[in-house]
Amino acid sequence: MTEFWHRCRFFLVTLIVLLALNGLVARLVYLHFRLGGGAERNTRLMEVRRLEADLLVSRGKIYDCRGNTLALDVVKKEVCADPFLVVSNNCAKAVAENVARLLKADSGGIYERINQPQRRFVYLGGYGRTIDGEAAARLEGMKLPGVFLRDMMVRSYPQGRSLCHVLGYVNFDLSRAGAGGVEQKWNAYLHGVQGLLISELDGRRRELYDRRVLEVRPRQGADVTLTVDYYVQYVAERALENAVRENRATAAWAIVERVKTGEILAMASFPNYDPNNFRNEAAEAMRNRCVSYVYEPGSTFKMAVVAAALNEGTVSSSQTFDCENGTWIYNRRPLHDFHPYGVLSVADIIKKSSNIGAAKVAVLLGDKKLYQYLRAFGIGRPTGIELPGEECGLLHPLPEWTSLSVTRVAIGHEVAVTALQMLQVLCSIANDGVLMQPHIVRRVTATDGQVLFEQKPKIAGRPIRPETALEMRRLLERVTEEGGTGCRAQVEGYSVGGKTGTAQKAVKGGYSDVLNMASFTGFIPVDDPQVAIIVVLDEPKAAIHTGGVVAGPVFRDIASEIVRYLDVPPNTTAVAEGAKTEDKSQI
Amino acid sequence: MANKNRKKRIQGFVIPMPVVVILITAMALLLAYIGLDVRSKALGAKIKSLELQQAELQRSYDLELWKWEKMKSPSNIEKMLSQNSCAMVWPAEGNIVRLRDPEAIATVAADYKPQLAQASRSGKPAFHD
Repeated sequence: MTEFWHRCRFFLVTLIVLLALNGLVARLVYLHFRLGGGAERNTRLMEVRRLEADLLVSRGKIYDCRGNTLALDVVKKEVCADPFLVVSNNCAKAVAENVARLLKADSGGIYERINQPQRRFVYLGGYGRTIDGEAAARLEGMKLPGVFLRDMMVRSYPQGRSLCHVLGYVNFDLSRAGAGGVEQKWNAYLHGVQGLLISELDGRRRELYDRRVLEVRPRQGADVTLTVDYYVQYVAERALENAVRENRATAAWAIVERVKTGEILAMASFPNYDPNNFRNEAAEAMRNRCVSYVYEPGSTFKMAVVAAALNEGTVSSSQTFDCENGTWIYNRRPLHDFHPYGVLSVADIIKKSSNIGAAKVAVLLGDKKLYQYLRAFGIGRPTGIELPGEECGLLHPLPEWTSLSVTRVAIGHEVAVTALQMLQVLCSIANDGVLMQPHIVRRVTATDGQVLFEQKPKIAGRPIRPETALEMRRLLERVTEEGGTGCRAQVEGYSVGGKTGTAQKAVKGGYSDVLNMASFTGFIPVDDPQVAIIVVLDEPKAAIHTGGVVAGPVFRDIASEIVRYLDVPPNTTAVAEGAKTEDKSQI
Repeated sequence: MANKNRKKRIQGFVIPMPVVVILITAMALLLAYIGLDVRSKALGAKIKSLELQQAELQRSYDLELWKWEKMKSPSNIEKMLSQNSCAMVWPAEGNIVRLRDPEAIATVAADYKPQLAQASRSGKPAFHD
């Protein structure tokens, strides 16, 4: 009996184990071959396990000419929450207060965002508001229920406000398209191509590498190298900021260009904005005035007129003109000089900046020739610099000129230019009459080192002969000598050539007696020009607000530092004189 | 009649040799398959973790680069200098010696080597030209 019972027990246990194993095998077969439940269940299963992710790619970096990084992508953290979880834990208020303290935001607003239990996802700081690593670590340490961090690729500009108008910024939306500056114009290169990954997940929601169905590698954006030198840029920006403060000007802008190549070394505009936080900035501050603001250049324009007349041979630099003691009636309309002058040579017309003298030179040259030369200098058409929003300026077609136009254009009125166009005129004079194509992007390089684009110095035209250019350089050098309008632009040890400009601003019904544009355009050194600089101040409110008094010193501040930085050799005579003075003082 | 040797008789069912060979081969193949599968899975996991590590390193590199660029920006350097009551100025023109002729550089370098402020690691003086 006992033996029988033992046998029964053995078979029973074996049967149970076998049944259990059969059940497991059946379940495995059922799950593995996805039997039963119909297509809907299978699809749901597939969806749960399927991973389809866009492989994020960072935008290319932007470098200055010395390889300093000006813009790059960094991963920062966004504070997000699951309101359902937070509310169900009864800690909405505590979470709001803690997060508000961390984000330095209003706790009421955050509480409103959290207190929506029907939602499963909200951005606590608002979309695009990120926190740094330290703050993220602190938040994680708090262990707030339902609050979590999410990675976000953010475009960062380590130099802050510096170079903001040239660089532009990147939108926060998913396309991450560049807006403004190089970011916009070179978006096609900088943006890169997103990748795609299709794979499966395991029970812990980890990707199974061996189940990858498709993997399209992302193509990172190409890097853009600018011609800008960020130290030169810094010097220009600092000088502009000081000038705006001292002269209580509305705005100011400056460009530094290499005369022989057309490379832009600095392009500064004030007021500026922070591209890291562009959403809180005024639209007016985001305007790159160097290329998108047209103004009547005033007396700086006289150099183009005199250069044209000298090139045509209608005048010589020693030829004299009667400057009518300050008032000249031409076609029954008066034209005034700032200071009354008698008879002046062409050289002195430039040095003293006589309106009447310049107008008489232009009349002698004639409408048609003047127009042709101005077109040849690039007035009235965009320079083609690789930045968005460039204005082409204003030069009326010849048939639209009145009988007075020739005298008004000669003094920089009835014509509007951008600062870059004005600088181009000066550069062609400083560069033996050769107009170079201005450019701000030097190279675009793919991540594998392949050069996708390279800008070489390009000749854009030859408006005047080299001899005329040389003569003009000598005339412009006199402007910064004693008795010239630009003597405040002198740089110790260097010869400077340039032209001052003070233009009344056009207002409704005529020209303002109070508001003006003060500018100085110059190059350094005169014998072998290396860099040309233009400085423009909008509505300076200093007691004397002429270009020579207001903009000349800004030119000097910028030029005196960058010639040292760029190691431009000084004039030999000037150095020798300086050394002698030093020796005498020591004795 | 002698009794049959009972020990020489084969008791029960004997699996034929070919079947044994087939079974052993199948087992070997199965083990090899399992081994390869485990190995490929391990490699996959390693690749995955290296991918994640690379992405993480790239992120930290970019972050450090960003911090470094911020630190060495001219405005920050100037701020730091002023905080430490330091002021940097360019040397006076009279204190700068510019050597532009390569032959002159070679001659002068030998004579004035100890006086040159900047010298490269190789011991040769460095010139700004």
